[in-house]
Amino acid sequence: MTLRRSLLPLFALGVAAITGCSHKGIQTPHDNILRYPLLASPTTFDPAMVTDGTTIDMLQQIFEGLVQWTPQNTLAPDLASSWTKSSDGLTYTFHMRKDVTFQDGTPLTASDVKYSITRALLPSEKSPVALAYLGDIVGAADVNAGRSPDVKGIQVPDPYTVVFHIVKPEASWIYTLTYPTAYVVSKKEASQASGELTSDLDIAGAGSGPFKLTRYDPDSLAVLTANAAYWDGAPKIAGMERPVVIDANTRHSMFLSGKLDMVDEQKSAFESDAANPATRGLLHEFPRAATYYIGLNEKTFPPFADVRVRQALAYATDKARIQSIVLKGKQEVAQDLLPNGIPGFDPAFKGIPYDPAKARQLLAAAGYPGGAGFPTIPISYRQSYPDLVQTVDLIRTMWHDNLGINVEARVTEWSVLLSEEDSDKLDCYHIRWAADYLDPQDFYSLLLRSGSSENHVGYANPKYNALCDAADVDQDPADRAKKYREAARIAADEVPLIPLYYQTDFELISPRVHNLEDGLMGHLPYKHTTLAN
Amino acid sequence: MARYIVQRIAFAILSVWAVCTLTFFIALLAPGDPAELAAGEHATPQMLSQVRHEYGLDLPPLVRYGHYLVGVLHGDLGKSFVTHEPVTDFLKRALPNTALLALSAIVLAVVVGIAVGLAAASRPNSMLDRALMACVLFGVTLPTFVLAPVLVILFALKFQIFPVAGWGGFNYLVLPSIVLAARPAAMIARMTRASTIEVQRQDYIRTARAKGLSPVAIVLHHTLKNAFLPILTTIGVSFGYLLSGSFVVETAFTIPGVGYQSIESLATRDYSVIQGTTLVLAVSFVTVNLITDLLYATLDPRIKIVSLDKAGA
Repeated sequence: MTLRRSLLPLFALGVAAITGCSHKGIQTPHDNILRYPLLASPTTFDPAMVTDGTTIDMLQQIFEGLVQWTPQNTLAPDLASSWTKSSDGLTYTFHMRKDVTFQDGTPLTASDVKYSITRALLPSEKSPVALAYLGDIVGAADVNAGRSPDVKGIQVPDPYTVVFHIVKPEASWIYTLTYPTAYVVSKKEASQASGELTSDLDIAGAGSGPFKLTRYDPDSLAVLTANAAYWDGAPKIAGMERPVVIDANTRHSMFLSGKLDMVDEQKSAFESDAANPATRGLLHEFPRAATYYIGLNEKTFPPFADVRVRQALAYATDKARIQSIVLKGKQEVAQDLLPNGIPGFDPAFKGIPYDPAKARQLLAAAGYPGGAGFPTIPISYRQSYPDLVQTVDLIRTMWHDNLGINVEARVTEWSVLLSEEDSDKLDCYHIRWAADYLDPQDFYSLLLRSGSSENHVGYANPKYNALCDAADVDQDPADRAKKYREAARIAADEVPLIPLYYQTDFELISPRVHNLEDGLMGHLPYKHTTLAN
Repeated sequence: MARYIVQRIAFAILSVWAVCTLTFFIALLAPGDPAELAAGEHATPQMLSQVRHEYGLDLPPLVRYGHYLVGVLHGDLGKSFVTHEPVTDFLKRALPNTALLALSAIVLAVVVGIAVGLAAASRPNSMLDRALMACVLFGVTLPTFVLAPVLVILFALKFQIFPVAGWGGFNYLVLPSIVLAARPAAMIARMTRASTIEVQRQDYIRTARAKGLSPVAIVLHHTLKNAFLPILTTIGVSFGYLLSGSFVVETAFTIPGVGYQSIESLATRDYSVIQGTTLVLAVSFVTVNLITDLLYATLDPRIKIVSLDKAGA
């Protein structure tokens, strides 16, 4: 033991000395292939089935939908050249591009759109997400339940026009078409593959996107090649290599050795990379449409039913301290549930400030002076995420020191946490909500409206509900945003959730990578990306 | 001898059955619903019930256990909850990679370990002996998660001799094999040294020296042959360890082997794949140990089974 102790600092010193002089500069390859790792093996090749971000990032290079996100976080036509919406908001007519072919050479028409969406909804497909994203199309539920083979709400009046009828005039509905489950697949390829695009052979030619999958070594490497016949012009890069690298340190080393052009940056490596002249200029930050918050369930934890208790907890939470200590000042403090950049975000809005004196006053008014008699709050959060652990530790300290309330940390396995959250069993929890699409409905109506499947805190305010209901179907964007803002102020004051900070991703990107397009939902397809050699 | 073989095989089968049973019931008791994993968080109750039926999750635990055992006997390890691919397809891809890595590491460990052990034993308690044993101590105690990045930094990033990670050629095999071989090589070296020193004290070695045989001939024909039995045991145990203990190395070097797949499956709670990989690793470990036991008995005819009655008498 003594020997080990005496050797350890020497060993650490040796490693530090080696790493300190290990790379004078980042090596870069001189070809036209973009190398960007997959953080896990792809879970599927079928856009109707995909749910995980890593696989979505790969499939969005191969398949496309009617509409797409832009770097400005707005919606733009993709396979559609334009669209119109009826005045009642119940009918969308998409006019398709006439110059699009699938990678197998067959022309892409409106009937392929109908085929793809019907296929995704079929019970035999077992898509875990089809009903969630496409369920508002008239007749979609019938197809999904096996009662009908045809989605009655989709009509194809001519080969280049497709009409959607939806059950409710929700202004956000069109955004659901950006999700991969609405991507268009070649009927020829998909039907040859018995309806299941399960392998690299099945997928070849099935999409219309800027890249095609030309090789897949299971658990190891996906190779995508530029689609020379792509309707928007062939991509500038010859292709992409997407090695599966699950270890973050290995990804980092591969980037330093020039084997990868882009890698995610772990917070643990951030300070050393920011100090290293070779990597300092290669760090890039990307804001994301996601908010980390504390949920306060008033149905399962009776003290939370008193708004003064929830407000006291919010006033006792020093978000700036969390930002400084845990997040090293790199993530933006959340004043509201809605992240910056989503339509309806109000930069002038300030939520509940840090004010321990007011917090104590409110708690005393609620019948718990100095925290006397207040039950221990069990706070659940996901295991293995240092940021979450440190945030919860700080919150425990703040609530204890400012209010005299004890908080018990309950680290929970991810699927158990999700399952308990879904069944509304969690009293208090720290979690992230990531947008399905860039619309306030996905935050305000989904998370806090009474009866919403994602309202797991039991929040119920008739005025809030009415505002959300009206905003959800309001076809006037300005008026709609105003209603959501009004609802947001009610929620900010009544504190069913305490928003803490917005997500920002960090990446190391080789200096040879240019024209990388990114939006709040993540990197966009690499069709305009160029590599300098 | 026949009885010895039968008994060793029976123990091996019992061990594999125990692993099967344990992994099945641990997966059963683990929190979370595998059906939700397979169907996704947005799944409707109807879809969940369909998935439960498809995977047999709606059956009583003992019936499921029975089906699982029958499946294992027929080489059917079920389907992945995440990719819906048969687990055997995963293993067919991964096992050869793990086996190649383990084989190259054990060859390296045996060559280096025996050479170092013999060199140390040639001059017991000399400076050479002490220096070599210090290196061996380093090899035994240095964790793979430290050795792997250090070698990558040195030989991949600084000197750029070998690739950082990946799989597909001799170059890719070198660093992971060294990392994986470090500990077994050290163990083999220690065992070789101890066993050789013991044998060198025997009368027949003194006789060989008196007859004028060269030191190399004495080591090769007399010392090593008689010192080899405990070394063989160490090699056997080490090889089993290499087959089943390459999780860190495969992950650090991105080698698509069984360990790598296990880590991916653990991250997604893909129980069926975890069960399958655990079973295969257990079978590998047990098989290697069985072969070692049988070789042991072949090499040393004095070895025979002593029944428990006789042993206690």
